Amino acid sequence: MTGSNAAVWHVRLHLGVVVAGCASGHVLLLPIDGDRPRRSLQDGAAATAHAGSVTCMAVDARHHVVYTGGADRTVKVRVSGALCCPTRLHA
Amino acid sequence: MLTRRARLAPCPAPRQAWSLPAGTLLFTLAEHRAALTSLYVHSDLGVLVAGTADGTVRVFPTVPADASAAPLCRWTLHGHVHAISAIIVAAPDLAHERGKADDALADAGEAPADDHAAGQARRRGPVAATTTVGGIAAGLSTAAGPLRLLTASQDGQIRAWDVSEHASGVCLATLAYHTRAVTTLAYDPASNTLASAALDERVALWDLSTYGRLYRRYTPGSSTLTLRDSVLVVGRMGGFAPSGVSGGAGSSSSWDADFTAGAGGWADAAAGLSLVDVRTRTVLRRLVPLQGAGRGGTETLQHLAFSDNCLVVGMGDAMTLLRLSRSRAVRR
Repeated sequence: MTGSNAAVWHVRLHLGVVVAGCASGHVLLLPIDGDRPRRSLQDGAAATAHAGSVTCMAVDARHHVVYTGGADRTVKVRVSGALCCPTRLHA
Repeated sequence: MLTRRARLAPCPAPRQAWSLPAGTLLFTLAEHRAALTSLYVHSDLGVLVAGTADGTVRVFPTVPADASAAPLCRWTLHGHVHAISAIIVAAPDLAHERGKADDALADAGEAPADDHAAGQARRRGPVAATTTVGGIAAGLSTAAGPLRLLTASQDGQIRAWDVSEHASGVCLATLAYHTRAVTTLAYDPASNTLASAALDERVALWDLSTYGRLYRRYTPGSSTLTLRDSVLVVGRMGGFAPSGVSGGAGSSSSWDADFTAGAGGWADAAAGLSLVDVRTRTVLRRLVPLQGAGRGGTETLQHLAFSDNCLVVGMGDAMTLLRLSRSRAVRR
């Protein structure tokens, strides 16, 4: 799994997506291809990352929303992606 | 928004469009005055709880993915003086209740309600009726009393807050026992019991009817735990050595069952998972991984959670599902 040069501190699995929070403040959403995570399809997450480390994380499974808390004293609210049955996807 | 064309094979409903916003930022909640240390979401109740390094807890409604406005802080709770380390809402297991209600309807020859709110309104039992206003459940009443938020801090203190719809977020009780940071909280609606594990190497059980401590136990090393249907599962974080003994109900799997039902205490069960009956406080079973069953050396327990009727055990780079019943535990 790539996409961050910093330690991954927090990980959640939601609807076939690995949500990873990094010490660098990046939040990566990595779709699972089969049974393995693959590189994020978009590096745009870096543009909306925390200014400090990602310190905590929670996923609203009903609304497909990911909440991340950072050392920068903010909570970022982001869509986790409406992924369904990712193992049946073929690019 | 980045979209991706893909071929979709037949897939169980509900199917959703393949869309990969990959983290489209909706909002930034910036009213906090210290670093965030803990976040908790209860999807069914629509509650987001944020804890910060200065001990402040803020409660927000959750928002749908297409929300146009950022959620407004509903309550700011002051009381803790150290960083918030764990958060949980003591709420009934709505999914479980929903399943029971649907089963009852099926038995009565009625189709289960598809709509969540309608299903809730038709329900009988511990949950009287639930509607959702602004994302936060309103009018929620349980057999156990008001909707409570449990927060723990790095000084070992646990506080219970009333976060019912018309409550003011008052602190109902302070549970003092741990002397170091509480790492895990778990709540069991069936027994109205709270379990806590802390860095002081102790695990405690609390009766949320009286806020009294039911049970305490020294468990060497830091522990993680989970709680469901009056069964407390405690596992030691970090490494523990697999058993070299085979046999028992799970002899063909990577798990062995050590029958210790009725045995007094479970402090000596640190080298594995202990299943404890909350009502009798006796060990139902102890589970340790077998050596050589696809694993070797020291295992590293990282995560425990209940999912449906299974216990999810995250250990090393693998995850194991254990189907649990009161009489036996069989690996899936």
